[in-house]
Amino acid sequence: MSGKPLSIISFYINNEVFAIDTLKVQNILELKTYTKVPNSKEYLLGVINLHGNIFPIADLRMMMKLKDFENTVDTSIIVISNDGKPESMIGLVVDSVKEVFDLSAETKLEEPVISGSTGLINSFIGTIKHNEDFVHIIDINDMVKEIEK
Amino acid sequence: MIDKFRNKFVEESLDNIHDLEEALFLLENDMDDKEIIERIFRAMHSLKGGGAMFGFNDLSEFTHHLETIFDLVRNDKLTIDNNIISLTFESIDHIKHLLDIGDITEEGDRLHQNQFIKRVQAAANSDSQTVTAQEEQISEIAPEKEIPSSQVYLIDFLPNEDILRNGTNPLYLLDDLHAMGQAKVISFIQNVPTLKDFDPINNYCHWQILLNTEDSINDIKDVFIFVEDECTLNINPVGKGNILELKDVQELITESQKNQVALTVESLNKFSAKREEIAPQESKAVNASTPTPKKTQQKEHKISSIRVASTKIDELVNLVSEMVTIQAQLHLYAENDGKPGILQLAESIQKLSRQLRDNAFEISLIPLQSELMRFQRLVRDLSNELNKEVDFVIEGGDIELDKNIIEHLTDPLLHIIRNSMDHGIETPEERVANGKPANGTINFKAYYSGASVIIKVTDNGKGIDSEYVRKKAISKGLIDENAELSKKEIFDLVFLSGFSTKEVVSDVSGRGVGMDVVKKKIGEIRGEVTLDSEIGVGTTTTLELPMTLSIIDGLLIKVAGNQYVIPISSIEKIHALDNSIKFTKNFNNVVTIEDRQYPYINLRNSFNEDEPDSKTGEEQIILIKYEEKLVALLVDQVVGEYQTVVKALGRFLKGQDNISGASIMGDGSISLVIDTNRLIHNELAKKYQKE
Repeated sequence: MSGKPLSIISFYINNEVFAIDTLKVQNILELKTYTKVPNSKEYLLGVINLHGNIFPIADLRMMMKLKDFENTVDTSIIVISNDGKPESMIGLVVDSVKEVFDLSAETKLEEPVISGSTGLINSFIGTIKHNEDFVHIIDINDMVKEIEK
Repeated sequence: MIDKFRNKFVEESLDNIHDLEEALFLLENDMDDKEIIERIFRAMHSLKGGGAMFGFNDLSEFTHHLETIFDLVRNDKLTIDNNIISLTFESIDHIKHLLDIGDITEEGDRLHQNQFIKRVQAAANSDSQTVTAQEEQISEIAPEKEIPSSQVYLIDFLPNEDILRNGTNPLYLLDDLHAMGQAKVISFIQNVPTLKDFDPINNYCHWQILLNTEDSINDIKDVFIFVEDECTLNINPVGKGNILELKDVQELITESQKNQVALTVESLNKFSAKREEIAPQESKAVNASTPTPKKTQQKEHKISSIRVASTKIDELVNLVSEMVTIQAQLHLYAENDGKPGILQLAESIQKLSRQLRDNAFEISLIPLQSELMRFQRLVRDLSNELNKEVDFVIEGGDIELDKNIIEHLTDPLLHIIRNSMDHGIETPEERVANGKPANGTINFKAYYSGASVIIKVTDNGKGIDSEYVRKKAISKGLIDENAELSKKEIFDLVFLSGFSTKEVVSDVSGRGVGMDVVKKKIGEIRGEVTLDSEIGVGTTTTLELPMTLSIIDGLLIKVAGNQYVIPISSIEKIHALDNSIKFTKNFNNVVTIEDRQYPYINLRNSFNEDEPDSKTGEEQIILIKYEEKLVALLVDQVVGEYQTVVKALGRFLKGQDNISGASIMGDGSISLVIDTNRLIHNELAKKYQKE
């Protein structure tokens, strides 16, 4: 488990709230056209071009083994790079982006309560209660390792 | 923090070493060139100074000893010979090793270092004698030499009036004293008579000499052995250490000369040179540094280039590529818009961005020269090892290539040159017997040809027997016994894996790396390699390389709605899918085009796309060069030829099969660049798996 981030960006997947460390986020884009890459993992939808950098996009919903989801106007790509390098950039496709907020020192991270399978997303930094929602903070480093496999 | 500086030092030191090697090669040709010796000395000095500053103490110590040799050389106390040059080359390797490991921790390394230092010291102490022979002897002498115990003697030399009549020239004796160490002579001429009474065959002068020497008093007496009876001689040790260095003593000497008053032992005995052990060395160091300021200033003026991190250049090239893309969009928009003002602006920007692009790509190119030193070194080292005399001639060292290409080029070229040295060039005796000059030549030539760079490595050795190659290939089952091959085709066999012509594996070549690896490596940077040879005349290996990796000429195609780029260099021919092309019914994977059969790959299958319901009529067959064969690819549509900037797909798609990169089209869309070699390889492997 990595340390607690200072600020997180939360998003919806299948009406549940997840979040990642804001500092790793490079950009947020709407899901438009992308170029399919043949012979790649199914959840890697393809590659997109952002300011001359070409990088793949991974559908988090597919990684979580969800079946019935559809793309709407709210469907977004959160572009992250876990080490800040352009070659490590990857876009995460989510149902919609919710908000960015700081984690105060008092905020306590709870062990996420997991029952059943979360697919390939199986490493969390912790869960917090924010307003009315339980927000599960995804461990990006572990997720990136999974994608790189 | 300190690590950062250390890394910087290592980086700079490698530059210094590079400079050193270059200078040594020049020195080999002209052993008397003072400027080169100066340059070598400077490079060593920087290594020594920097080494001590950044905690490479062993390196610093070692370089100090090495520097001593060249200090002696530049002060004309030692002459450069091949031994010294060879020793210095070896020393450079040792320095490289020290840079690698930092300070010595292992016992073996320590021993090696000490032995090396002894050899270097031996070279410094012996004039043009074999270094290794003196090794042991010097090991005993060396400690003595390290602390020179010099002593100043006051010599009163009063020759008789008739000393000249015996044919003795007292000035020669003074010269002899000068040769023993540092000497100051005071001449007393008060006894010289007026011209009227002057007899030219009489001596009227006498001298006082202050001599700083490591030799004993008896050695000084030996100088006067033949004139003992014709002069009065007093030799007395005075002072402690080299008092000649002291300002007061020097003043005393000047005064004594001026006033013609003899110096006394008592007046000198009160002096002592405090830092007697370091004094002689230090005087050298002072000498060494005084003439340099002028030189360093010159050097600063010469700086016409700057160091930039390669990542910055990559970024620049990236940004420029992006701008070129945007500019293409702008141009498209302006043309559609039709307003003359905008069109004009778009065209100006187009011009500018082209220049900018060319400039940026030029920056990422580096001259071949930087790597040539290694090859020169290789030839030199191997010449000694194999007892062959080889001249390495370089043409076109200023040819520039993308740094990534140069990085990929080093190993194959080293291998090619190694081959030429080992198998190509004969021994001097053999050469002379065949009516060739004893010295072999390896010619390294690089030049531009269109958008590619050609590198030819030619040796004038014994050449390769094509018949031998053919037989070998047959015996290895690479070709059929009855196959008729052209000379070029035969030599191409050399690049097949499992082919090595020399039976005996030597240290030089045959390290399990064959020409097939060379071909593979060159292929990775989209280059070609060919071989040509004539028995008795020599062998030429030719490399054809793209100037840069990031721009390729590609053919844009479509498969299942996606755009792909195939590098033009790998395409042999394009055929429309008309009635003359027949797909074999029995085997699904063979196609007949113009009476020839080719294996064929449907890209839709390879990319796991569904077959379309009906043909559009735009489908084409592309014949791709793959190793020695042609393989047909079926594509949906050929769009056209484009020059494109190839970009990496990032780390998450690194292991991606079949695709080597992507490029951004004028409209901002992406097309993927197909790695045809890998694609075909994978497809063929699939077939074997099925069986």
